[in-house]
Amino acid sequence: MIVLNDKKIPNPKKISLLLKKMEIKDGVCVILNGKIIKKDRWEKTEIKDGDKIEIVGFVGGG
Amino acid sequence: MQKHFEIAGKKLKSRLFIGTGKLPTYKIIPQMLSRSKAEVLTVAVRRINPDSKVENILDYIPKNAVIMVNTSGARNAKEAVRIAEIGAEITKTDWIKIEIEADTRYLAPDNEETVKATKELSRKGFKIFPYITPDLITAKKLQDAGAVSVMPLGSFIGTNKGITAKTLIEPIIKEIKIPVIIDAGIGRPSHAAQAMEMGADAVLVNTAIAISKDPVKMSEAMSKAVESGRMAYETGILKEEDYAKPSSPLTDFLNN
Repeated sequence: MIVLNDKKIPNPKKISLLLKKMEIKDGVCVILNGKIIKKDRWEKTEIKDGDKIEIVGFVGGG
Repeated sequence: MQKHFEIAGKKLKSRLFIGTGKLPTYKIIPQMLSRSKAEVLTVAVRRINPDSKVENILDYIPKNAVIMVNTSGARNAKEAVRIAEIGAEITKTDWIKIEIEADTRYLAPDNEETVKATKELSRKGFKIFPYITPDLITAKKLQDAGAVSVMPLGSFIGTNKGITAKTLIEPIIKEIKIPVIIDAGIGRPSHAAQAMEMGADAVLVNTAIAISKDPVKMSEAMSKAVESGRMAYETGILKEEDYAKPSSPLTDFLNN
């Protein structure tokens, strides 16, 4: 299990797989255990059990 | 036609920046931009809920629009820097509106932390637009810290009260060399026009457009007001007088 945005989910093993499942192609920032993972690392970066992931994007704002 | 104005190395035609918070739907963004001719939009950074398929605002922002990322939600300089870095990762923009609010009732900007964040982010190469409580000394510090603009509030966010901080903003417009953008509090086109008549370089409007019955129409109304106000400023606004001055020639024949 891992923690995604404060919610426990099964470990998707790779960032790219997680995003695929969420139907996200682009336009987000992935933060793994507090560290920003750049887009060109999504494919390679592996997720370990217990990792904390945050996925953030843009919303309307002033 | 009004001239281009230059800000953060970009030449813009429109002096109206639009905030995208509280819009009924992102779908109207392209229409809003085409009707108002606005070129700059602000967005905020938030977590994406993995369970709900929310639309991504980026899908609705035309490619030629400039995206300015705000750091709303940041309570101090450190958090603002973090949000700016995340924003730059989401899309290739380096335009950051620093918004640090430690107060939830008035969403009053923390000028001190804003200066700190501006120093750090300017050093990292970001184009910084700091949102501040209008204070000349803070504005000077921000200019020295490398900000590309200062954004004093007209009144508090979402209050629609207009440029109630006029006497505090005027010295900033006079003394500061970087562009001054009046942000927050603009509730009607007349407020936007007033900001421009005062000599502000641009205004940022969100609530008044977003929650109006017809945001597309209101964005155009704001845009016309901004243009009018700017034209009047460039032409030169007349001084107020204490006594009437006739605009028609006085009669010269009735007394004879």
